[in-house]
Amino acid sequence: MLRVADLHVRFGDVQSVAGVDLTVPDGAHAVGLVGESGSGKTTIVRAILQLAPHAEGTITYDDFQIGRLRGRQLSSFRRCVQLVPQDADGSLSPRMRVGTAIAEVLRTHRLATRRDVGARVDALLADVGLLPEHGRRLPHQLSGGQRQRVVIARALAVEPRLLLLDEPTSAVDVTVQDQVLTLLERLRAEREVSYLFISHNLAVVERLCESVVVLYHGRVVETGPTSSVLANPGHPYTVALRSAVPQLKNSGRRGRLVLHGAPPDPANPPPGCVFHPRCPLAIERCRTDVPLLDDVGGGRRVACHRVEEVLAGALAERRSPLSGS
Amino acid sequence: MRLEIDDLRVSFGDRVVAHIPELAIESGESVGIAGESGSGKSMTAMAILGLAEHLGASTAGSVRLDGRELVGAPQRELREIRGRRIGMIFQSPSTAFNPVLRTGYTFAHILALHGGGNRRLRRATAEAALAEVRLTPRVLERYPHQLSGGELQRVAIAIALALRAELLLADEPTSALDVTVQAEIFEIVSRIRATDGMAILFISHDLAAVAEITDRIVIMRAGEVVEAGATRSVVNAPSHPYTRALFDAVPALSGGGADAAGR
Repeated sequence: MLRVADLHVRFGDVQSVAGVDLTVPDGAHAVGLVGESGSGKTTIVRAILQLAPHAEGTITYDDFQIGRLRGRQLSSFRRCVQLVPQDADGSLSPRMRVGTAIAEVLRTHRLATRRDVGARVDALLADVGLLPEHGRRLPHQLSGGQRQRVVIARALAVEPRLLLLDEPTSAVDVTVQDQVLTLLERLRAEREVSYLFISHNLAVVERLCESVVVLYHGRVVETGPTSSVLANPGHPYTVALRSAVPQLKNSGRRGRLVLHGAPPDPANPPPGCVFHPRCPLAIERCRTDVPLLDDVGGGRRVACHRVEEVLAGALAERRSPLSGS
Repeated sequence: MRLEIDDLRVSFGDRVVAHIPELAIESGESVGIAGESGSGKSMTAMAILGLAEHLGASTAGSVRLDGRELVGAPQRELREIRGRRIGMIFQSPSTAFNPVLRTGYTFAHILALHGGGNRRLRRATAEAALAEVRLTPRVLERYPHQLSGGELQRVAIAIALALRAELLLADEPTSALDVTVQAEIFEIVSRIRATDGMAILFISHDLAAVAEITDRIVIMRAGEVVEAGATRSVVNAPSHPYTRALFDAVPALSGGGADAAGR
């Protein structure tokens, strides 16, 4: 089980992550981490991988204390937790055949002998719906969706128990996204691997994840079971994120809560609730008091002074109809 | 403004990569082209702009802007239309701007190329256009890397507004942006369309996004139009299996996405 407690990451004057708690249970559990660009999603993933040198707080995975792992211990941690990066293209060597890239992982971790490595690579490729011949190709000879599959196969090579998926579908077409999500659903069931799934699209998170953590400006603003959070969000930011997702079934007759203004300047965050400059419900208290992440029942926690009103639907009538539709 | 496409064919050698039998867009209309990578949607945009030849393709058929034939028109004539009458925004605003120039320089330079008055007038035009996309004149002092993707895309829209473009050609303008930023861009584009009567040709692989801001839609696959019609009827009753497949690929959100009153 992965536990992140009170994580802070600071780059110079910029507080990228400010006190994040997060848990991903073992056994095919998927947690979605959502938020805009700059909200700290990728920094959290880097901290989990011991790649953020300025991280403070505690991150543990079973008995591993992340931040202090060296040598053999680090290597065995990396066999448990693997990253699937956003940019599949950038994480494959342009001059290495993709099968060789997968074989390299197997050899580094001594998971295959010279004799059976080829068969192991073919089996991993088959697992993600690719043929042995794809392994003999260079990255540029594959489509974006195929490259994303190769990167997933490479991460699976060490038989990890947790995959950190950093926006694995944000660079591909919706049809390819659909295929990759179907693949991830199948692999999770077959291999009992857990996911920490990063996305800015709540609809994608809903499809894959039982629970969701909503991040704004390096802070958790809402967390809980995906279905109840989406059915009735408790934080105004979650309401805006949900209403931003284009949906076919409602096209032509809808309104939406559009956030104006930019996310706060990371070097100079506003006092009180960091969301108040963009919040349609902000009151005086929000400008001075930092809201705590409070339990609102049903396994849900929300950091908002006006959570009761939000849950009662205070934002429903504030949405502006889209002009021209 | 009326843009009419008639039997437009874009090809590389013998291979036709985009074929549009017919399509017309008038002022104030919003038309979408949806399809996957390789469906020919971007090549259609390039052919409208007279840029397909620059990519090594050949264009046959007809694209008329207010009766004036653009296919085969001299580049001198097309340069006056591109940017000025047909504004453009693309997927990656960061590569659309020169990284070593402040956005204000690029903005003023484009206005000057299209004869936008003296320096002071250009500045005033730029500031007025930026206000329409909810940006302050401060962005003109910034370099592209100092602005977010959403801000840069709004500067690109402001350039089209400042030139009083009659048609905005938007090729995957929000595919690289967060959904919240996309929502804001859609709101701005819809408002400009309603107030200035600017026509929109919106191209994307995301059927839900296309459906959201268009009245008519064209679905393309492997260079051919498989379905076309009023967005609402295509979305409610897709007749082609490929449209249904694209439709099914859009992840559904319970509790509604952009659902407004429905809770």
